[in-house]
Formats: sequence, C-alpha cells, structure tokens
Amino acid sequence: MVNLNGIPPRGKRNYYLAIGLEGSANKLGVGIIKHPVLEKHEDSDLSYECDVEILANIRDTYVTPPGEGFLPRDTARHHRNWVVRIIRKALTEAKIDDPTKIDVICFTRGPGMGAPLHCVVIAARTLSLMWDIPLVGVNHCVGHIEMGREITGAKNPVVLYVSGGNTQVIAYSEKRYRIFGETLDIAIGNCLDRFARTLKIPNAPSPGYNIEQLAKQCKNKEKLVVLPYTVKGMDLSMSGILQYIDTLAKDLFKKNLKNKLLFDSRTGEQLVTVEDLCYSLQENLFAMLVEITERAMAHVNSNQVLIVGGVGCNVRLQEMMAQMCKDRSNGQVHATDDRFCIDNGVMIAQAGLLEYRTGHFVKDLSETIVTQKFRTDEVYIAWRE
Amino acid sequence: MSAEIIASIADVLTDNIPLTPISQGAEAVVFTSPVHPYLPKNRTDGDDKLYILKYRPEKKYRHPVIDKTLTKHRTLGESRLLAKLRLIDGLNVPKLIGCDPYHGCIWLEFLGEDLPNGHGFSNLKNFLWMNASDPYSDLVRDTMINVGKQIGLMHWNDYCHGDLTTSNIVLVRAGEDWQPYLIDFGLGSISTLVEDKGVDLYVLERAIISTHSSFANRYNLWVLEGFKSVFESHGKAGLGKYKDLIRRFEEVRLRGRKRSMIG
Amino acid sequence: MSLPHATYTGPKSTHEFEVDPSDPRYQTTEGRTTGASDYVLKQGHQDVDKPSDPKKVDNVNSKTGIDQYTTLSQLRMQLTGLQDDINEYLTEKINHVKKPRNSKQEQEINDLLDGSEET
Repeated sequence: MVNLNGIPPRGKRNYYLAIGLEGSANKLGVGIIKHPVLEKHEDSDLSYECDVEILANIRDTYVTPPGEGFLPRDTARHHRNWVVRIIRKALTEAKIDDPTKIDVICFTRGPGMGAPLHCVVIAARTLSLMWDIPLVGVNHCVGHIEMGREITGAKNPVVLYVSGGNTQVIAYSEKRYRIFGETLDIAIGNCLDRFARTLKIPNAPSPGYNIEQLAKQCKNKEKLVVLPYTVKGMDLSMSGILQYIDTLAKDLFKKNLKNKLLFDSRTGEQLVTVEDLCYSLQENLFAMLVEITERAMAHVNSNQVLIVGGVGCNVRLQEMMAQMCKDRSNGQVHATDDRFCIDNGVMIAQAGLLEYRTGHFVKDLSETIVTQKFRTDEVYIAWRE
Repeated sequence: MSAEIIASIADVLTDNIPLTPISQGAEAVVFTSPVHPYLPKNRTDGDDKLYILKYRPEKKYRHPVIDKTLTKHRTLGESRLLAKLRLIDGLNVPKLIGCDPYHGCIWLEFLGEDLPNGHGFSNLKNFLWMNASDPYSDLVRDTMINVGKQIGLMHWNDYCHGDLTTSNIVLVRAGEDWQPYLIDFGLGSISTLVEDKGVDLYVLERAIISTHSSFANRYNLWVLEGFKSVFESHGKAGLGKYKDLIRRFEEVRLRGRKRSMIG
Repeated sequence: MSLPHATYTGPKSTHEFEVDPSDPRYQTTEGRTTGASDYVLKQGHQDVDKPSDPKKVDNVNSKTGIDQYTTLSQLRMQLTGLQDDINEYLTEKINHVKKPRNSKQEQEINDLLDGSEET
C-alpha cells in the first residue's frame, strides 16, 4: 500500500496546490490543480481518486500554414514568448494572489522536441528559484496516463496512448507502466499529420481533426480503398501505409489516369475522392490499433481500455474501441475530451503532484535536464501499489 | 467471454457437432468437441479424445472489407504453416485436422491440460504464475530451456511465429517434464530475415518482462540458452547464424529505446 | 540599475558583450535574430508569436525616452539586443567554417570541430 500524505501541504493547509508546465511539442500548456488531503490516501492504492479540482487549464497551440509541419526553432520561440503571459493568465484564473503558496512546480522532462522542452524547463527553474518551490520533472506519457485515470476513474485499464509522437499500448505492472505494443516506425498522429500536409488541409485546430471531418463526409463507405494492413504481433508499422496513401493522393491531384484504383480505365472517371482516402486511412489505421489493444487485453486478462493522447479525441477511434470492448465480455472504453486528450499542463501537474506526494522531488537543479527520448517504462511509479 | 460471439459459431458450423467454449483470445474463440469434424465414428470411438476448433469470428469494429480479407488471410496462412511445421523433426506444433478459411475455422488436435489448484490452462504464462513461489526451480529452468529449443528449431528452419507471447506456448506433460508446443501462427510467416527472427525474440522477451517482471531476467537467459543450443548443434555455420541473429535482436531492442518520441 | 552583460570564452579567445541603453538596438523587444524563421514566413505564415510589448510606467507624463518604461521592460529590451549580439557573433563564427576550403582550411575546420579555436 502507498502513502500519498507523506509530505504535508505548505502552510498547514488541508489541500495541495500544483502548477504544471507542458511544451514538448507545439502545444504550450499551463495547468493549476488542487488535491484535498484525504485520509483514505494514507495507506491505499487510490491514486486515481484524488478528487482533483482543476483551477486553471490554459493552452496555446503553435499552428503553421497548411502543408507545413512545425519546426523546433519556431516552436521554441512560440513557447518562449508566450510562457510568462500564459502562466500569469493561469494564476489569475486560479485566483492565486500569492504564488509562493504553491506546493510544487511540475514540468515536462521529456520525451519531446529539444528546443521547446528546454524553453519550458527554463521557465520552471526560474519560478522555482524565484518563489522557492520544489520542482518535479514529469514524463509526458505518464502525464497523459495519470490524467486519464483521474478523469475517468478507470482503475487498471490497458492504456492506448496515441498522439503525434507516440503510439503505445501500455499496462501497469509492478511499479512501472510497461509497454506491450508500439509502433515500429512512426506514430499514428504523425502519419495522419503528414497525410494532412500532402492534402494541404489547414492545420487549425489540428490536422488530425480535419482528417476526421473529411472522413465523416465520405459518401462511399461500402467501397473501402484497400491499404496495407501491417500489424506485427503486438506491434504495428505505419510508414508503408503512409507512403502508399501519399502516392495515391498525389496521383489523384496530378490526375494520373493510369492509376486504375483512382480512375476508371475506360472512361477516366474519378472513382475515389479525398474524403474516401481519409475514411479508408482511418478505418485501416484504427483497426490495427484496436487489434493490438485487444491482444494486450487478452494477455493481461483485462476488459477495460483507456485512450489518451491527441488522437484519442477521434470519435471514430473511440467508437471502434468501444465495439471491441463490448465484444470482450462487456468491457468498457474510457476516454477524455479534448481538454485533456490534447497535450496540456494539468496532466503534468497531476502526475507531478502524485510523485511529489510520495516524497520525490528534485534535490539539485542538475536533475532537471530535459531529454528528447524518455521511455514510459523508465519511470518508477511510486504512487501505485 | 462474450456470449454473442460464442453463439455466432452456429452460423458457420452444423449443429451436429457439440461444442464447448474454453477461451476467447484476442483474435479467436477456442472450442473443444468430442466429435471429429469428418472422420466416421468407428474411426474415433473409444479414443476418448477431444478436438479443438479455433474460430475467428467477425470483428464488428472493423470495416467488413478489412474483416473478411484478414480472416481468410490469417486462417489460410495459419493452416499452411501448421501443416509445414508439423513435418519438422523435433518441432512441437498442434496437428492440423481441417480448415474452412472463408468462415475462419481451423480444426486441431487437443493439447495441454488444466493446471492444479485452479491455475488455469497449461500455457507458459499460467505455468510461470503457478511457479511464482519457487521461480528458479529445476523444473522451471528446464521448461524455459525447452521453450528456447523449440523457438531455435523453428527459426533454424526459417519460420517466424509473429506473436510469440507466453500465452501462445502450451505445455504438454511428458512424464515428469513439460514439453512446450508453439501455437497460434495467425501472424506467422516463412522468413530468412534476421529482422523477423529478432523481432520474434524481442516480442517474447517483452512479454515475459511485462507479465513476469520480477524473474524476467533469468527466464529470458534460459530461453536464449535453449535457443543457442539448437544453432550450436549445427557446428560453425550454426554458430555464425546465431551470432548474426543475436546482433539483430539487440538492435531491435535498442530501437525500442531509441525511438524518437515527440508530442 | 546595473546593465546586463555577457562573456564568451573559447580555448583561444574571449569576447565581451556590452549593452548601450541609448542605442535603439537595445530599445525594442523584437530582436533581429529572434523573429520567425524566414522559411515559415515564405510559406505565408502570419506571425502572432512576438514577445509582448514593453510596458509603460503608469501615469507618467514627465518621463521620456527609455525611462517611460518599467524597469523590467527596460531589462527585457536590453537583453533582446544583447541576445542579438551574441547570436550574430556565433553565426559569424559558424559561417567562417562553412566557406569553401583548401587543405589548410580543412585542417582548421577539423581543429575547430575538435574544440580548438582560430586566432
């Protein structure tokens, strides 16, 4: 059993306050949360029932023109120039007049893009020195998982973490979030984002969201465009699919009549639309994700799934996962909405505060070095049994 | 197990064959039947045998086109592999009795038994959980080495399993020992590539680490010991192949660690 | 208020960077080297991520020039110019390495990459 009340809150309060700073990709998020001190946390395994109160959840996304991805230098510039304003906004919204009352400052230690991560950690270190508040470095993936657990109340689900930079199937075992299955090359969000660039659709609010909307408009749902299906055991590969569908899209735009899949060989009539391609891509990729999730569930005897990460906002993915879970002895799928699915500061605060409450925090600033590569299973999950 | 899925077998199989569902894996439902699917009674009477029906039901979550294609591809693929693997001397795989690829049905001989004290079916996963109180006993060690030998034999003959987890290794009693049988070749393939074999080893290693974390190091070493012995028995050429394989296996391991993760 | 300054130290030389508060270079929060990338602007990107404008001291009529801004804003402006100086200095050093080279320069480059410095 675990004691989450080991370190009492500042100023003899009966609640903890934490601020979380997230900036590993193109979203800059600042979140402020409150955990009440509860007796049940003294000796139990209830880190998913913190009764969290979200006092502020501010996020600003760096968006690039259609057809372009976000580069480290400009992303870092965005974070650097907005972080102070966003922190101020969060403090105002949380009605915190005296920031020195905060118990812990949590920041994303990794994984992610180097320069943006670096900008945010500098802000975190500065606040820590200014206000004399301890720091906790958080693994971005663990942040997603802990936020998902708290919001949905899912006790011990198999976690599907799908975003622009990550695609992992995770299950908790003996103090670690173990990776059961993952992508062998690119992440699914990356695959969708890059296809969006090929299609030159807008990047706001997010390229994945726009592909989802196009897919919904597909009028030809019975006739699927057949794509390679590349599940390899518990893992999956997506670069081949991306290459193939990029070629299809380019042939479509160039009006390459030789492509019999896209154009009727006799009449030259267009047989496939952009909406059809988006629909087929989603159906194919999501079927693969659901399959590897199901494999992990069978292996650990679970019938609960929690979907976290930006791609988790996709309604079609949630539908497919729910159908699979239902067919597995009435299991359930848990998902959060875009406030928490998409990168945010609150999730960093949640995971960071849990770690702080078990007595772990930065003792020397040299421990706050950020890292682009940081595996989910490298983190010691002290707050779970 | 989902009652609806189990009931759906009635759509594709005559009700002359009594079926008892025993498990629902990720992909297929497994039934047992005392009745052979086609041999006349006088050939099987008094055998006291059970037969396995592995049924890949329709997966409603995916598009029907994807579903039908996958089911047929996997059922046929698995059947073909089982038939070929059965011919390899020393390799333990279930015997293929029949196949209906259009409806996702495969008939196999029955393997394994129920472990004592309610530990469930005798696959490697349950066996290791059952032995968790004495994890490094000779029995466990010998069993893991034998598992390594089976995988080595399979790889030496250029076949890959594709989904090597501890649930896909069934233990059959052979006197005092347990003989491992590899099952579930739905994602298997014929391959000479060290990449595919390396990934096979990596998947098993990860599966052992994920569900038997405390003892995983030793277990994985024993598996590799058995695995190596198969290659060693083929002299210098074998040892050379083994070294190449292990080198790629280590690269695959690192690849997981080094994968760039952004966002 | 004391002025910020910076020092570059290399194996063979050092360089001091000083701030001159009266120079317009140190009187803006929009740096020359810290704007949006050219590449992104060429793609039609509208830059909305500039640093916030310097803040004026409230209710001040008598102050002019730089003193109409708060101390913190003055510091930000000075640092912006200082950062530009540092960035330009380092870029010049790197570009020196990139010029077409003969075997002598090849050796120089290898030395630089090994951490030593040109005089």
